[in-house]
Amino acid sequence: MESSSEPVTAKLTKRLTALDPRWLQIATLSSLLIYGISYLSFDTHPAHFIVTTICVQLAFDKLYLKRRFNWKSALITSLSLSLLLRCGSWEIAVLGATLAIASKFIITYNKNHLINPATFAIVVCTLLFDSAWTSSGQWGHVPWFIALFTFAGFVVTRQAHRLDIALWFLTAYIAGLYLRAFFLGNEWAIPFHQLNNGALIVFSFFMITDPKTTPNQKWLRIGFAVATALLTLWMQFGLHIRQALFPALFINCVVINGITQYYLKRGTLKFESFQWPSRLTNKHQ
Amino acid sequence: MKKTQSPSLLKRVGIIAALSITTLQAQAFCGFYVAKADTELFNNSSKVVLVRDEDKTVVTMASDYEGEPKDFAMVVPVPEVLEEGQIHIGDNSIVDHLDAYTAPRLVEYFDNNPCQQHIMYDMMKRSGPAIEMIAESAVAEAKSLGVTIEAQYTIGEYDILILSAKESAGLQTWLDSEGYQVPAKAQKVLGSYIKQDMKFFVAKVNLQEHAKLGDNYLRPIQVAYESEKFMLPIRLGTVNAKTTQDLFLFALTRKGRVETTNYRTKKIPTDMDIPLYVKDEFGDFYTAMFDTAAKNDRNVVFLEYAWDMNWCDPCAADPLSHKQLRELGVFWLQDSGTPPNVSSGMPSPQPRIMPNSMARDVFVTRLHARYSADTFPEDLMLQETGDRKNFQGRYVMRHPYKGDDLTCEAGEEYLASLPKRYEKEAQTLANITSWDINEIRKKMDEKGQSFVKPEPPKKKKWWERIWG
Repeated sequence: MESSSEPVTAKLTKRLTALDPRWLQIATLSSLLIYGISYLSFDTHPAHFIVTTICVQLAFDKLYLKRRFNWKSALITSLSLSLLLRCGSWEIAVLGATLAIASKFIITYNKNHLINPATFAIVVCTLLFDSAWTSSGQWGHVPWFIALFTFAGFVVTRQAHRLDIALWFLTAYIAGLYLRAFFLGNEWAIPFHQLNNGALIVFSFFMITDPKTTPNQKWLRIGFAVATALLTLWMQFGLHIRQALFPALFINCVVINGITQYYLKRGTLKFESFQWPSRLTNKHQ
Repeated sequence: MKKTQSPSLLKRVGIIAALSITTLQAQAFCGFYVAKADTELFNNSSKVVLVRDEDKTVVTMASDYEGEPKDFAMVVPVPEVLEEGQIHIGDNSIVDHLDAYTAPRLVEYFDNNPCQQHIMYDMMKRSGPAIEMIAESAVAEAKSLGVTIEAQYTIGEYDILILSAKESAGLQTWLDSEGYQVPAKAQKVLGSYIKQDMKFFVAKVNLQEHAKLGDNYLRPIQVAYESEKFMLPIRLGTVNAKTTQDLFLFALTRKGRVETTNYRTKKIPTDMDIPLYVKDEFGDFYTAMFDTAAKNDRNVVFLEYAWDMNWCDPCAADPLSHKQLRELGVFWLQDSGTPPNVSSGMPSPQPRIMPNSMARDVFVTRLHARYSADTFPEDLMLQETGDRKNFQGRYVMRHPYKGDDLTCEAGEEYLASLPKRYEKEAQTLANITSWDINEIRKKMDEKGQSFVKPEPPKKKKWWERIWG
């Protein structure tokens, strides 16, 4: 039995390793969305985001860059937006989705886009429009949900070689919350409650870990993760900004990616291109 | 429902959660809800109205405290030292009106004769969801304990102190020596607020001023301040509480609905058909329904109402007038008069008030939290969203058609469908209230909602239909 199962396991592992992690990401984000809409009554309209991101991505790929249609990335962006961005009107949803995809092609440095597209759209829309907002508290505090999606996130980010970012970010953020509680003399129940939050999991495993907008050098990735955690904590508790995760990531994407690209251009850093482990992946994306 | 106050609990420090405030919810303060007319009650509850735009905030803390005025005391953390002009004494009736306007409502419909071709009648029920100056020696003592009396005022029937402190033990010792029985466990929480540079708003009743009012009720205290912190402190209130407490938060904002960012905000069950007998016990229905919802989701804040203040449909009470809103602190409203279709009084609300041309950008959110230290360890962090979708707790009673002229085929089908419809209503009610379904069926039967298929009325002779 053992000898026959070995090749199967090996085969499975090989297949899983070769699998584009975006498939896993699409599956996990879709599950989150179904859970959010059906169980948590999220007031979101995925169709607006999905249709728009797909159309805009298609237009940029075919008309602007004349390359293979990269629908998976567009779909992931639309799922993230569906999960995180709330819009009072469909026009803002369409604009947000357009901005997200367009940012990948327009806000670039050294031919690399700098900011996670969903984060870009969330920050711009919430700053510009009263009727656009994020509702990170609405995931509730359900332990099995947190555990399940932490596991799923773990698998996806490991596959995308970005697990270190999620772990360093979470470590720094958790340490910050517990240090604050220690300094204020708060009950440990308070930082525990702050951590027991679905939005934090979504952010840690599906947003900050975007391989295309995070450095390929390990030490830069660690710096990026820790800096984002510290900036989030400061904005959250120092400036009393409720949804600090997104602006903190936005700022760090610009700063860290700007620095990385600058040194890459000067030749101080060695260029290491990230490729999704898929035969279908387009080299330009 | 009404509880009496235990003398041993007197003069505990109480709170109403508020603002960047907290509430030292004390047993003596807002310890119970008092029944008014047919208003439902929640024990251990407090009502807070929070008006906010950008960083400007006005908080009204209302209480149905009915103990001895000399035993009333409250301590609320505030973000800054408040000047006298930032403190105001409000009017309970306006808070009650806001409570009534936002309360869950019962709506009544009468079935039409299915043999003919609508009369609708809405019936709403309001529900519950319809000092003396400090002596110099005390000042010196405070100083030695690291407590600074930043200001002291007598406003209305209250003597108010604004305190700052260097450390919690000194503050607690001083409050104890002044007769405020702060629970020992509160020290940690006080310390946390001190480190966050919060000040403390301390109030007790000035008996002389209170006697002049000739009224036993205490009026709500209002404070206005500017702060980036959009939150409602509840931690002090949970320190010594043996049971859960209910908080009703009425937020008046410009952009849209208010929600908590560190707790899920969930809509209460709404738009359900319920049996007719509930009309007589709507208060019990609402409390049972909320008990069930709060038991199922223990660390959730419930949304009970979200509506543009211009209108209502149906109206449990008329929208508040400009004057009332300004009294509550809606500072962005110009005193340009009340829209023509809004009266300033609460009695006999109009069935419905539709949006009018004199739009006022005031959006009201009613949140209801049942909290304890276990389920709500952290203060309520709030945010204003851009969501202007209307939401209300609305329950529907459908009266069957009572005429004896159901002689057509549609009439017979209608009669045959009634037991099934009643059973669905019974199950809905049992699900959302956790009431015993057999008891529900029994009461429905007594109220004429029979589960036995009724006999169709005998077809009248043609001449009987002429002269009856």
